[in-house]
Amino acid sequence: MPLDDCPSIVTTRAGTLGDWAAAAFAIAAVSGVAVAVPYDPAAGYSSLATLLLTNPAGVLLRNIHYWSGQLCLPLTAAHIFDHLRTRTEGRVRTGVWLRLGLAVPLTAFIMLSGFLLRDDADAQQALRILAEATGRIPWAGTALATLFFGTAVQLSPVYVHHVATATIVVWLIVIEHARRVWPRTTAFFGVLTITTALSLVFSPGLHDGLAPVIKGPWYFLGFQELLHWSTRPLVVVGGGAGVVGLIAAIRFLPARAGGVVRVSLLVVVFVYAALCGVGAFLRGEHWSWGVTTLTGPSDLRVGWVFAATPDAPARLPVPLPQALGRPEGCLVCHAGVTGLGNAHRPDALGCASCHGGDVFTLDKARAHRGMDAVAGNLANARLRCGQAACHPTVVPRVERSLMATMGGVIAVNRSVFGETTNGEASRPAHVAALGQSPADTHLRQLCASCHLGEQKTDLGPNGEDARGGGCAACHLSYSDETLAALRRYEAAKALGVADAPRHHPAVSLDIGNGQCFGCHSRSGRIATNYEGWHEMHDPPASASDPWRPSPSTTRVLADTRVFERVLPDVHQQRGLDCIDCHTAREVMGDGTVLDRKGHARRVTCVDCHVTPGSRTATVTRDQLDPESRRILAARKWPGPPAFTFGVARSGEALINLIVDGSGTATLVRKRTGERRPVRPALGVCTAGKGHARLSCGACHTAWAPRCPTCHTSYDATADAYDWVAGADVRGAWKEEAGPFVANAPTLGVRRVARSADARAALETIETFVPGMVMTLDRNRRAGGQPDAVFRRIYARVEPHTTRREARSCVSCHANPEALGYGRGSLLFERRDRTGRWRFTPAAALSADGLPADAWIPFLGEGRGMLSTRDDVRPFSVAEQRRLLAAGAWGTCHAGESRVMQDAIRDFEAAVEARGRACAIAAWEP
Amino acid sequence: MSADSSRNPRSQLEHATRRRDRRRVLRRAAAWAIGAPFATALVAMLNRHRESRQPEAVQIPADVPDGFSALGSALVFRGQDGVRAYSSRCPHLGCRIDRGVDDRAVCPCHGSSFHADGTVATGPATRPLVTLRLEPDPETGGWTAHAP
Repeated sequence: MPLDDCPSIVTTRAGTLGDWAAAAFAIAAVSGVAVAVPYDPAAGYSSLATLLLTNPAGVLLRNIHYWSGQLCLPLTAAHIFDHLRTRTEGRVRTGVWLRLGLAVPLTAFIMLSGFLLRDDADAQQALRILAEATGRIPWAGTALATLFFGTAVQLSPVYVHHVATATIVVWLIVIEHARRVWPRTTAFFGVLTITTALSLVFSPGLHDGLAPVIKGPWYFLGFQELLHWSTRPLVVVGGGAGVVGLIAAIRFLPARAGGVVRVSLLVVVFVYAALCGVGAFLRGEHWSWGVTTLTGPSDLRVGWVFAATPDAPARLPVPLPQALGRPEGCLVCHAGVTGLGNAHRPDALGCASCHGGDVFTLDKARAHRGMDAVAGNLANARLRCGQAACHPTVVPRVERSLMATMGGVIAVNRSVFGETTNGEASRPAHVAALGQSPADTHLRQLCASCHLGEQKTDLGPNGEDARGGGCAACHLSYSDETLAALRRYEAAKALGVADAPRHHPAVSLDIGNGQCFGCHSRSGRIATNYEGWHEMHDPPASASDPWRPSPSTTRVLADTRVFERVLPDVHQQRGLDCIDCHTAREVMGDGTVLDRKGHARRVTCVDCHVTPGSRTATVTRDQLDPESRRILAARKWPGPPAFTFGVARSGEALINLIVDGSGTATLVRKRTGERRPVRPALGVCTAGKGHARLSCGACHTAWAPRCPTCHTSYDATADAYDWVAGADVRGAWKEEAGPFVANAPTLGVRRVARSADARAALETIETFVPGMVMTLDRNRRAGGQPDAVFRRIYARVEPHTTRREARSCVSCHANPEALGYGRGSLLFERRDRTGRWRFTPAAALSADGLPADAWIPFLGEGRGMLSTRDDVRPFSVAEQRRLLAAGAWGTCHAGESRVMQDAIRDFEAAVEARGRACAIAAWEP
Repeated sequence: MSADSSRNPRSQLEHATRRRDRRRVLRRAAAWAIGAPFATALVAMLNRHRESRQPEAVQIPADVPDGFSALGSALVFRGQDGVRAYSSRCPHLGCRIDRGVDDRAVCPCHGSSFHADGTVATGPATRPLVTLRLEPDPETGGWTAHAP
């Protein structure tokens, strides 16, 4: 019986499955001849990219070639299944049957080699895999691999085999067993119709060189899944060959065995199809588990092939603009963009490596699909800034840094609310993982916008009220020219007449204080402190006129807060920016997850202002770590190159601290290269037993903002915005601020380290401000029972108000606020050669009997939870007595007097040698 | 053989069959004899072509960052004890390893990962990375590695 009269699954007027498969093969061959014209095997990727960008008709023909090939595979499989099911294998001669068996791997080779000819990232890896797997075949593998794939570098052998060898051999085998040369007309037009319909809308993509997922074609994904699990690839290859062998062997097996093999093959097909599904939808980067789709730019692209591209220039540039070694469509419309800086030039990186989008189309809507107008946000920083060729090690560090996790903020807040024990989080926390407890909802509503994970969604610079932005939070800066161009662009866009923008903000190391201002002008206010501004709670109104702020003494921020002029930090006056002290490794982290910024700090005062008798540790340029060396090279400071740099005590190399041969240090302003001499610390800083534990800030911090009587309450019926959820929620935390005061900070003790002697600890005296002195009602249910807890907590701060002038003796030794008693009158009542200290608080007493702004009782021990950190404490009674004993002398003698200088050196000796007129403090028994 | 037997149809058939079989065997032997040298030449050409591929010289800059860096056909690791270079060819199936993740080199194809010393961290690879010899480059302060 002629073959085409056999019973078949599908018998239509258009022919059998074999007819359809042959028709698909013919269409693929003919369309392949057409697309061979624009395709260049020596530059496969580039020629395909050019085709996609410039030749819609070419894209249609490529699509027809692709879809006819894709249809040919399942049609051939169905045709084989059809004939195996109806047991027609005996109707062809043995030789023909064996050649049909050969046609199966050859057909697979045609499909795979077609994929390899894309020459994109997926195809190049696939070429290496196939060449290697073929090479592993015993005895003949190496020769076969070289014969079919060359040296897996150039595509010309693959091209010849795809176009000629395999196609011709398969065609001969097809016409030999089908006994017709040309496909059936009806089947041909049927397949052509389906193929063309698909081709007009669905285009196979091309890997843009940026997407991190690398996968083979859909029919090969089952093999990839098996290769992922198997440590012996040859077993998988052998398995595939075995399946082909089984198909061929069916003809020679007895009927029963043949039937078992047939059913087994069907099961294998279904299992393989399931594995392909796993590989397609459940495997992501590095073949790890992760749900993916098939509609990215490098997979399947959906859109009318002949869509008009009205936004493309009428004459395309020749050659097409290149980026990352391939044509990029973005650069056709967005040509001549300036302002990015040398490291991120569009002609080197293109646009899509930062902004995403489809690089292989000139249609504006399609090109902008998946694009981020504002790049650099942390949510996709790993794919963009942190991609393998750019900054892969930096992004994970930033993600773990305190500015991304808010670990310190969360730990402290939970501690205050009593949701952790003794101030230490059991595990470092992350703002994205905040729960719904009172502490966490409090943060969600009032604080959780100040982290790098917060999305920057608007074009424009990071203003005074900026939040988040990932890498762009620091590294994106607008020059005046770029900002003006942005405003013009926005105005034109509002009128609907905007051209593609030509000015781009810089992405660079030029990080000004404005980048830090938005978040750091909140909370401890260090950004405003540094510049010498103190927030006013109630701006004064003039008696007769409405209050007008004076520009020289007040400042109104974008969020309407009003600040008054006080003393700036001396470093700010000398022109130092935040980044001149805060290094990259400090700010971006080193990958360690921390729960306090004190642990992130790598630079201290004495690293530049060396103490008398010590020298700055140094490192030469060649000894710098690679990151520091790169930053130094990128900075391009004017003047002679430096070779020796200071090293902080933490081991951090300070590339802007240049040390000459005599040990003299010069600080370089990172943004401008200007040099500043660095004064070493004076002898008085470290002389004398009395001041041995003092930190630099204890004396040199001029003022710190205090807000001791703010009030936080919860209103279960009001609505608030949850920054983490990005939505309004019912139940609002409300904050009411008390009066802000700018005073010299309180002092306390911090345990730096334990010495070898377990009884002794290395301690420093540092600056503190009232953190929380309040009653906190944690009840969040309307009308529910109060869940109140009283806190009297002070927090260690670095206010960033350093002055050259130090505090006076009495500003610490006879100042109740400095000692932790709160505001009030602290008087030394002298009687002959002794005297007693008396304190009268100014603030009202709280429920615990202490003044509302106090930390500790006068000459008493602090009680209860004194801080959210367990390495700090107020002065003990013994320490208070020693302080006040010296303070008593300070009420009589000037700080520069010989008496006081002797007292600093050795107070006990000075007391022994005191004059007759001197009084010393006496204490209640 | 008698004249009678040579005219016997059965023996004629046997003669013809034997002649045909002989011709078939001779044809096949001739085909192998002629084809073998050409097949040998083909295999020799393929092997020589494969062997004559020049190793690629990869320039490694002096300031290559800490951790793994992918530089085309070389994978460079800078650690506490200096710089090491490996072939970026995954020992599993030859994919090009183009990234490091958290101090490991990870193959994008099937997920094999390798420690800083080139040994396998997670499969399916079973063999370690191939170490490349580094030649110091006095001009740049970096190195040159030759990747096969």
